[in-house]
Amino acid sequence: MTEEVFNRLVSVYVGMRAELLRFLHARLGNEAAADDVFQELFLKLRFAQLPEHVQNPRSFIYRTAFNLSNAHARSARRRVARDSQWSETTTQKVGGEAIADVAGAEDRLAAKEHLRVVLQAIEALPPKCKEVFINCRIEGRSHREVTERLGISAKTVEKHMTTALKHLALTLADVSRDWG
Amino acid sequence: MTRHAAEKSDPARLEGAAAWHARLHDGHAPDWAAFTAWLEEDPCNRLAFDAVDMAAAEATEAWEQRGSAPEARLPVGFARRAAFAASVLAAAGLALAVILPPLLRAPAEVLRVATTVGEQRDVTLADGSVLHVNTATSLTATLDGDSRGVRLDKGEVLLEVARDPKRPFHVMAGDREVTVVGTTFNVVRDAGAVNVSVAEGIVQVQSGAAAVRLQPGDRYRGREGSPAYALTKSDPAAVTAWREGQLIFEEASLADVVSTMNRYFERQITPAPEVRNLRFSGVLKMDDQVLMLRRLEAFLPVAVRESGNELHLERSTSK
Repeated sequence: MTEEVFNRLVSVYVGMRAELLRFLHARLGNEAAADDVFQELFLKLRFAQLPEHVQNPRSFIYRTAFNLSNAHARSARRRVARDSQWSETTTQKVGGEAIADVAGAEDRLAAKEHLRVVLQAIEALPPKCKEVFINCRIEGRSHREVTERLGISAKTVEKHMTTALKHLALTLADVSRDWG
Repeated sequence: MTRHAAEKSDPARLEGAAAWHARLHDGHAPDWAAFTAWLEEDPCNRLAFDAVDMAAAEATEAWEQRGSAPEARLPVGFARRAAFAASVLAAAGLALAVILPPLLRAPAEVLRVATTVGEQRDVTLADGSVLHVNTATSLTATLDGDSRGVRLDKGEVLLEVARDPKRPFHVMAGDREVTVVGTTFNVVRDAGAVNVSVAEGIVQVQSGAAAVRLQPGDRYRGREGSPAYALTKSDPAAVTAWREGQLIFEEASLADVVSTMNRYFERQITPAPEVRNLRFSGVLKMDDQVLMLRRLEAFLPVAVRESGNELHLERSTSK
């Protein structure tokens, strides 16, 4: 990235401060996290490998903020889940090896079971919907590529993605470790 | 929060969240102001969006693991294989009970993990062991009925090994092999050096025929290609410090401090020869690279010089 592109991005970023903080606050539900991600966003713009030309700095910055805030929310959720698991495990270890072994076996089972449930949820999608989901989300193809590949309209891609995401969220919300 | 708990998985709300996620993932000129307004409308919208985003991420991870882990598809493959084995054996008139057990052994689960510079990731293996994978690391984990193992190609991993005396856990890092039954320990393989530090339990490090047993707080430092090693004591709590965003150094050379920092950032720092052997003890909070260097400047007679994309550490003239 040229210094010129960076400078342009930063001036846009500074000008967007109020709306970005508002967006991050709405997305993360707390001001401290919004501030953190706002800072992180700057570091990202400064140090990440960015494209040579950024056509639309505003939407580029919003997209980066969107990705960072999603990752932030996920890792916060996982930390909470892990901390509660960890304290359960250590409490049990006090009781002696036999009990710790049981906890280990339960963890092992839980990890395996979780993977199985997630894969089953994907397999349970209607065929076309599953194909769109795998193409877009897992293989990272753009919606435009997928419309050409599968010969369907952009609206249909979006519709299948919505169905897939809703189904996965509904299935996993009940069983996920992260939702306890 | 109880209202949230009930409504975050309300199907209509999830549908709305899923539609936003699908649109924003890749839409042309998405309407960010409208999305912000939707989030602000009701806190449950944010929780529903979290649920959708989490499900999308979990599905992606599970699908990737499935690619390298045949175990995930065990039910189908296993049933087919067992049925095939049974038909062959029945045809041969052999007693199934005697022959079948070896065939029932679970196939190996193989998992490749790679992190980019600055990325940290936690991976839970099927046995319940957790790998905390640090920045710029690549490794392969293999689990089967008899053994558990990780091959560390490069980088750093903190392992919380689930106790299983029947299946020891091996970590191969270059020409060093670390063996444990169940414990928490850290392994770094970087630029020809292999360092092992133990937070809990007993760990054995083997290099060729020579083996050494490490206790909690022991820190083992070796170089690939030579069986020689150095053993020092440190605080067992320091072993897991990187997970809290801290780098802890005790009497470390500045060259070691810099090579540790260089694993976390794209921009590489070069220390001048005359400062490489300066000693540093202390805790460095990992945040912004330049800020971290400024803090080093406060402790040591060094100065940072930026030239283009490069960062140099030189002896300061003022001190």
